Amino acid sequence: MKLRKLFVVCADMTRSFSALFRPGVLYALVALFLIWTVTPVVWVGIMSVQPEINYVAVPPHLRLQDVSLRWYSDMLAQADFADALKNSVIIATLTMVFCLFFGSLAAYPLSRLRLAGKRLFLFASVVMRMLPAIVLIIPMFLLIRLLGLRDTHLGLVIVYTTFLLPFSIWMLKNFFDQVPYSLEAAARMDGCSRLGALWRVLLPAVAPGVVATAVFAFIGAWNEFLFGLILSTSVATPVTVKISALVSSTFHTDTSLVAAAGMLAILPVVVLVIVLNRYIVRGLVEGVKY
Amino acid sequence: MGHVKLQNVSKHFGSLRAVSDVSLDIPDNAFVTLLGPSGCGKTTTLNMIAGLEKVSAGDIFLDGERITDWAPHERGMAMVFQNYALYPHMDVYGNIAFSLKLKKTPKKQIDERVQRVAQALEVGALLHRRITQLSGGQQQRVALARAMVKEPKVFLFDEPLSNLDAALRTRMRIEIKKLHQQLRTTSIFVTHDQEEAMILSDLIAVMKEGQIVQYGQADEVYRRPNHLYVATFIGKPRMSILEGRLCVDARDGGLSFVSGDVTLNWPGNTARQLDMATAVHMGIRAEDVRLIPRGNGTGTLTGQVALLQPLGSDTFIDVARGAITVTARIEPDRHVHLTETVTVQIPRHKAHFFDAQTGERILSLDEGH
Repeated sequence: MKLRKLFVVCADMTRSFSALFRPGVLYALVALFLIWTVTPVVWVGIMSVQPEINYVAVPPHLRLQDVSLRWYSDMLAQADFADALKNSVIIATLTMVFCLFFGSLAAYPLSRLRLAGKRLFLFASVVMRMLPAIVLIIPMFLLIRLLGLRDTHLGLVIVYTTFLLPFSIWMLKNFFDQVPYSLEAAARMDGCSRLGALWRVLLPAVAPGVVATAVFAFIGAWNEFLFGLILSTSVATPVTVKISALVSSTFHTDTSLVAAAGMLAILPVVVLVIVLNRYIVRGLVEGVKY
Repeated sequence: MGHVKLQNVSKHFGSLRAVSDVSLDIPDNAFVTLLGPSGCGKTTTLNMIAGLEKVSAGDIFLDGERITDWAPHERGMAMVFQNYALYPHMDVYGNIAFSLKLKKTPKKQIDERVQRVAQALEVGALLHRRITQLSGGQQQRVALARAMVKEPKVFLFDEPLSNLDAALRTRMRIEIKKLHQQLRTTSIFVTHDQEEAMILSDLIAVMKEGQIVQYGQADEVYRRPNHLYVATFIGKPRMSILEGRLCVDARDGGLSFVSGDVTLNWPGNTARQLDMATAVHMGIRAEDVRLIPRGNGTGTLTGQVALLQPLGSDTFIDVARGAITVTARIEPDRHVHLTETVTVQIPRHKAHFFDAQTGERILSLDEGH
């Protein structure tokens, strides 16, 4: 497939690009990139523990004795924001579960059985992802409304799963591929059905891979904004949408409050990534092969 | 209680015929090896016996019952794999006990059986280790334990020793042999190593391209190969093959083999009449070729030593004359050197003759003996 060649060429180019530079230069470049990416987050973090007057001034005069967590508690005290956080947790978790469940059911035959059209299926599922999400807004909206799932957790979970499932299938299939078939053969000899072998032997054997896939699905669902915005109104609003509402609303003028809200919105994911760091790296390194 | 029979079993994957019309009768208590190179269909056959692959045609019987459509775990068989296939997320105890747990065996019984089997295979001390902490040899023993604990009617081995280094391989071979002597459970063993097959088996089935070429007692397959393929596959060093023509002297029944400028004559009364001079491949094993003092005699060949292979207990020399090379076994303290001219004798009753076109055996060894 031409596409495979393209990816291989890109990977090669990346590798040779890094080889062009001495290690020191490479680290400097990476450091610069990190600073570029992390600075806004750090700044928001600072804003969330300082009163506005401290950082609005030019130059900002930050005072240690002004550090306070009161904006956090204020934000959490707001029912609608706490609800939004809860919604995000529910939606992301359910999406993760769906992606793992259906993903492993799809990845199993793709990895183990001799079928026609496997390549086509995988290719198609990846290509779908390249479609700009905004193109799907109207059809999705109509579909969800038809199903009566507007502004429901389930509605959002279904929509998010449709985006994240193909990638989950890819990842899980690649992890399955690395386990020799004899493992399931042994399980079947011991008394498992094919499905039993999947559940009791294959998935546990790729547990790190499952965790990596789960984390990707969770983060993907947590960060989703566009469909969250369009498909929810009040009940099922995820935190990403709530934040944007805060920023643009005229209700709160206290920027520190908004900053705290922002930090709260990313906190669960940051914690998750720190805790499961090893598995994520494994997923990135081993999970996407062509 | 472990009589396995295959009747006209075939397996094809699309247009690829992996196994073609294989019929095999494996008696109870026998150690049978499916021997052949990679891709000959031996593992596929084993998988069909195990129930891991569905047959495309034919039937499989166990003790008279038709098990062709039975699930793997219903067949009362246990399998040992080349790469051990131990469950990485469980410890040794869990691996061995897995099948019993699935059958909902009471915990006390599980414990009893696991301990017994672990002691027998000397892995008792490793019961609570994780699989990743074990060496290759230990893993293979745990795999054996996992199979043994099921008390199966048939043991199936899929090249279990191929992943081990030479020394370990030899040791494990002995352990498997001892196991079979002790338990007398029917065992079906798949390998490409003919030495392994010879050491371990009662019966050997030599396979080629999905079919069985010869099936018989191990020493019969060695001494009386019915096909060139079997003759050259089994035996170390490889049987020497000479291409030439064979004819029978009409007057006295003597046998002549001619290849290039080499003629081997054997007197005797060959009963069979061969039509003219038949193109044959003549085969002779190194241990049957004798080094004799210079001279002519029945079935002698004079040539130059082209290769020396001293093994310590024996020495093998290649004697070359023109396009012909014959490997001979000589005593280790008999010293010859390269390019020395020697004479070897090939006894009539040890020579094998195969049709040059079909590869099948032509002359029975005891004809005209």
